[in-house]
Amino acid sequence: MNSEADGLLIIGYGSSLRGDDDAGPQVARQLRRRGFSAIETHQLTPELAQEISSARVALFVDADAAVEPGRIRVGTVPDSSSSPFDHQVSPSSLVQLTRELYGRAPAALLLAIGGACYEVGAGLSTPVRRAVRGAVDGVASAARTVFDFRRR
Amino acid sequence: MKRITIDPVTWIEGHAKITIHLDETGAVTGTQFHVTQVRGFEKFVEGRPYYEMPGITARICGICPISHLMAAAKACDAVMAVRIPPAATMIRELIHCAQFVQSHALSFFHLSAPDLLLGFDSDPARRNVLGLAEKRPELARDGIDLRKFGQRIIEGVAGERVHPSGIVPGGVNRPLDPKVRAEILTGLGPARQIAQKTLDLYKNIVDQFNDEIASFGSMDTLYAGLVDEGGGLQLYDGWMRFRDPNGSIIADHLDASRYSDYIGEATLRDSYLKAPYFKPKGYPGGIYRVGPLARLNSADHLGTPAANAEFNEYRQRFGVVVASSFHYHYARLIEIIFALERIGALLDSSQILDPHVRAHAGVNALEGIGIAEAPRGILIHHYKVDEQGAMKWANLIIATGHNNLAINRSIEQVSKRYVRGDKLQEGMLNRVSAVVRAFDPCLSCSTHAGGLVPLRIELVDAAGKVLDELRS
Repeated sequence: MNSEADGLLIIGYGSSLRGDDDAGPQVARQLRRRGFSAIETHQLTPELAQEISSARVALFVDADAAVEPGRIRVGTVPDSSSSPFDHQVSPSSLVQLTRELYGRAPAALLLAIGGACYEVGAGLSTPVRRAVRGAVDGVASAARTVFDFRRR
Repeated sequence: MKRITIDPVTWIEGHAKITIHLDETGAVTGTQFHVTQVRGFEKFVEGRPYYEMPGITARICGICPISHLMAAAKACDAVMAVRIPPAATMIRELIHCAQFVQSHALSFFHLSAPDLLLGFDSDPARRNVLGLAEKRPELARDGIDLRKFGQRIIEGVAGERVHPSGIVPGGVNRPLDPKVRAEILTGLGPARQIAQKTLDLYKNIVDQFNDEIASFGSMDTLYAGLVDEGGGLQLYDGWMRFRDPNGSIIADHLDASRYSDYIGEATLRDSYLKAPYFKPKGYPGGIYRVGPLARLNSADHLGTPAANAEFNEYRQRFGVVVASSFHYHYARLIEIIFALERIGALLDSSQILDPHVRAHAGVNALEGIGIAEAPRGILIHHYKVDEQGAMKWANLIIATGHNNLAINRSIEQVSKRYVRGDKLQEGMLNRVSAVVRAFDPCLSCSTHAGGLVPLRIELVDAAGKVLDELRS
């Protein structure tokens, strides 16, 4: 759960059965074990708005087929060109919904991990497994040194 | 002949496509609802240990995994030939009811309320949860609060909010923590207030939609749902009942093992979703509906006071057998109240805190069938295993499959009422999608795919030339 003292909330999303699509939840799980506020979820849904409304920074972590496998790309959350709410919510729609409903919204970043294989039951591929470790270490380090976030 | 394609249908779970065929004058001659994803769960579970089935099949969906957990766990109970401890049954039902609350809340507040409260013909750019948040923020927040309440129960009782580990073959893997029980009871009152307030709001506006009510799948079909011995609505357990459109009960007290005597599965061209039908009436005459509308049509009463009062009012208003699929929304809101009342009743019993919550056994039967009501309707898991417990065969009949024929017919009815001519109108298209959403179909989205165009409609002539196109 989000801690007001932290201000950083990590939301890793993806299917745990679909190979590299599990990268986001894995990053969230490992960061939670290190004491960070982190949510693992299959897909983004509207009620997450309430949880991210009290964060200063929301870091979305997702697998991305458009990024080279094993590479990590971090940036601001891109504007969504799709419907604001389809069968899932995009990070930008979620931030917009948060602002609309709660009058505030966190700064939002997207950490994308390039995936290679999304087959059912495949598990993480080797480059993505390495990238997950790198993302976890990188986020933990940046959270402390760049953003000065404390762990719980 | 001309053809309109809606691909994919939006605001449902999974991906689907609708094709509407027009004649030369622009009138609708026929429609098709295609499910374009192959899931393959039944095949790739072969060889896995049966006790992994709850965990595997829960991943079929991120919205209603609990339903698969329940049906799978019950099928495993049957393979083990065990009767699970009473507290385990109660905890499972508690989790199951929480799943109904959160799933029904998603369907009503976030998928259908934009149509109902902002209007089917309103600006499509704002006819969504963001537009709802702008115009009716209190309602959007209520939806979030109700969904979170259901998820907190699931997380607190079963371990995780989406794919919980607590529901296992033989029962559940942990007793109910008294602190969790107290926390749920604290949140129950506000949740019930939201549910009642929302139903009251809906009852005040439903008459505005008489035209849609008449054409949103208003038709004679059979109805199927689970009921208890006395004909009361059941969600976690119970016997299958079929009622005909005249109100007569045509099959009753059917336990899970008899499902294949009454349910046949037809294969449709151009769709990966099978089309179950009521076997004694054959295909396609045995068309039936499941889910909230069908459950209320099947039951004689609801076993909790506030929900039963609403049920009686609903029947006084629309009759004992309610034919229009538009009323799935109304029935869904009544079921939220029922589920919340059941949560309260279960927690009021001290037996739910009993520490004996799991029966242990190996393989004692080579076949097991589990049945439960998912939010969208009856869900059946049927497994065959070898002596070592390895899965040899599985058949899963999901709620949306039961409704396949009815969804097809509803789309045709709506299209014939609203679709005319070569030029597409947004409100027309939206009503076609909305009738699908009324069923709240779950076509199982197991992964998220970026970059999809959420809605594309093409008007194509007989030669394949695109005459017109709409994108959301």
